[in-house]
Amino acid sequence: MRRELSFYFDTVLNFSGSVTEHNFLLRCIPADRPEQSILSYTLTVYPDGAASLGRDSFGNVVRAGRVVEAHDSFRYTLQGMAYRDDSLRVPEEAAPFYRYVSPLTQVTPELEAFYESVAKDAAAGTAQTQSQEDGAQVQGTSACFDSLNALDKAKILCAKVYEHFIYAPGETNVMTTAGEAFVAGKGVCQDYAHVLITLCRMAGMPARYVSGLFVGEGASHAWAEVWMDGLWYGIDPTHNCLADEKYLKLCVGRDYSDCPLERGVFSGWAEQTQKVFTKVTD
Amino acid sequence: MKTLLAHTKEINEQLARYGVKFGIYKDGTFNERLFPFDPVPRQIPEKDYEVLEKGLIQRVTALNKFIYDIYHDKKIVRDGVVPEEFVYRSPGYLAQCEGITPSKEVYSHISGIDLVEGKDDEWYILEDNLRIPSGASYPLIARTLCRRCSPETFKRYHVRDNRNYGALLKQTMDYVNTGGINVIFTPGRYNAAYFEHSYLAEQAGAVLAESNDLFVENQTLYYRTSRDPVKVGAVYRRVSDEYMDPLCFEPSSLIGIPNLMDAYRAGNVAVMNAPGNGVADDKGIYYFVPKMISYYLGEDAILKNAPTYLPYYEEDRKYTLDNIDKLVIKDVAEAGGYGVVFGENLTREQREDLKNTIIHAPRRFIAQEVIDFKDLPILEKGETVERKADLRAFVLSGEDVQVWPSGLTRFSRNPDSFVVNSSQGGGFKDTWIVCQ
Repeated sequence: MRRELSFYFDTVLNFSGSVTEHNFLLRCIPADRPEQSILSYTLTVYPDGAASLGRDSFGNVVRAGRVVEAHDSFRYTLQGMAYRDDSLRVPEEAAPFYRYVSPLTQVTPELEAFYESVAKDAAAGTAQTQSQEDGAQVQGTSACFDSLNALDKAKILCAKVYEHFIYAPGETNVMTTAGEAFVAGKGVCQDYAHVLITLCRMAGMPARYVSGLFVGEGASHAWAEVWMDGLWYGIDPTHNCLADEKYLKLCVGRDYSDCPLERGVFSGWAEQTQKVFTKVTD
Repeated sequence: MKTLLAHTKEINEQLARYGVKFGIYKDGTFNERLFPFDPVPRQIPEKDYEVLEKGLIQRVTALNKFIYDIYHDKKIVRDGVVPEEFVYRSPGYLAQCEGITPSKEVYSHISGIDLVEGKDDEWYILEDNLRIPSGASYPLIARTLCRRCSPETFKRYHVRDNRNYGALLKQTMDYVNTGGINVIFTPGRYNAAYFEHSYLAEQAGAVLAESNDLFVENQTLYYRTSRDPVKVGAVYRRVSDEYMDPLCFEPSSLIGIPNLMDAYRAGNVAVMNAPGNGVADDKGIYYFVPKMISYYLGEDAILKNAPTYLPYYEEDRKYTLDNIDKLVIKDVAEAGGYGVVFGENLTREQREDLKNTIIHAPRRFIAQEVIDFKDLPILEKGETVERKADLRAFVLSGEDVQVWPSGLTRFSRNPDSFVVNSSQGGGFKDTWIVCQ
């Protein structure tokens, strides 16, 4: 359903001491796309210096900057309006690297076993439905799973990931791999997304990681997208649903490591704490 | 020649004084050691060299086209010449470089191509090193010292002068330079090839810089000076891709330059060698280089690959498993002489283990016939003994692709070893192109 979204995304980094020579790269400016037109936006960065805009190899808008002077906090605030309508999507090719493992989505034996069992269960499920309908016994094999289309497979995998995980902030960090998060069985949206992406790629479909916002208040969010017949479909394993027009895409990559919303390096011994607030309304 | 050989000790002392060292990491500690020089040169007759030269230019030209293709249209993959997964599973392939066009479309500015001469008098390519191949400085400085110690030798033998390497390097940098100074960017003092970085900077008239000397602002790379910063137009970085820019690659890197990739992507600086070019020097991709040459250039490869099998293909896998005791098996992800196993040296149990690993992960390995390559004479304690040796030829890609008329000949000190990599503690020789 078409929606006009008003978005606000505010991040404050506090440093325990002062830092200098702070170089950063932001990927929070949403790309203007047919299904997501950015009607207006402002990004304020404080402190700021030597700002420049570019595009990375994943198509994200990258906003670089360099602050030389000493500072003990860093804040960037994005706000604007977007018009979302998935019926306006334009077919595109999926870059081949979206079908292969990436740093945080390596296949592990546990994920392999999980994938096998999901495929088998799904096949058994299909078999059961069929046997009820036509009264014949159908052997449940993963061949049935394999014959499903990419989006249907992704939905099944998504439901299983959702069931497997307990949402638990603080149990994982930004470097946690899909395999580690899976074994822990706990994590946040990033971990859910990484596991789902890994499974989708095991099923042979292009899948990618999305950082973004969705209607409501709170923190930034992450989900997955799978590619089928020229279109990318958003799928959110943290909520076990499709990522529809309530979702605003900020950046994409093979996994989180390709597209953090903010990454910076600076001089100075300082601990860093982060506060994020987002609000999206339609 | 006798006068030259008589100066062995002196030349090695001089090399030590100049700091011609090779650093290696072993068991977690950094050790620097001298890279022993053997004064008996490898001599290549000019007419043989001409064939090598043509073959190397052809090979590097095709490799450059391949890298451009992979990061743009991917025709060679679409046309089924190179299987997709060999490209996208290669650790040298960097998605972060997709769609970026480096200055003048050059990806491999300085290539180090390793060859051996077989007992059949045929040269074979062992591997292509395109990322940051080192070693040119060793024969360069050794030649200078040899000429100084024994000028009469060089009157008697007509040897192509190799002391133009600095000038060639400068030409290569100037060609891709986007406006600004030339810089050699080193990870610093504790790098295995630090001596070389400083020596080449001096020879090429470039500024030697570490990460603290450089910064990026407004998508432009600058070199700090005591006055205003100076724009950098070409950076010959001797830092590997992963550590080059903490905001694009490994975030924990302390030896990188933040946002260097942003400046590079914007076309404001030439980074040499170009990031992501390791996709072409992967040991798995090596197998496809002759196919690349005919695909891009419509020519047959002048220089042969060592006979290579890809266990990825069923037929090759079968051959590899059946003949494992006479093959050398290489792990495609490893470099520097690591991950190389000679089937004949394995116990029965190890052999079975390796076979199982190959069956389980065929993409990870290549298998090659062991080439019976020529021994070269070296001096050991005043006596001449024969040792295995290879040759690293340096090919520079600027306006033209040129081969440096010399090269680094490395030999194994261990009489039973075929591995001549300097990380494994061998020595080196000068390489003479001799006019007759």
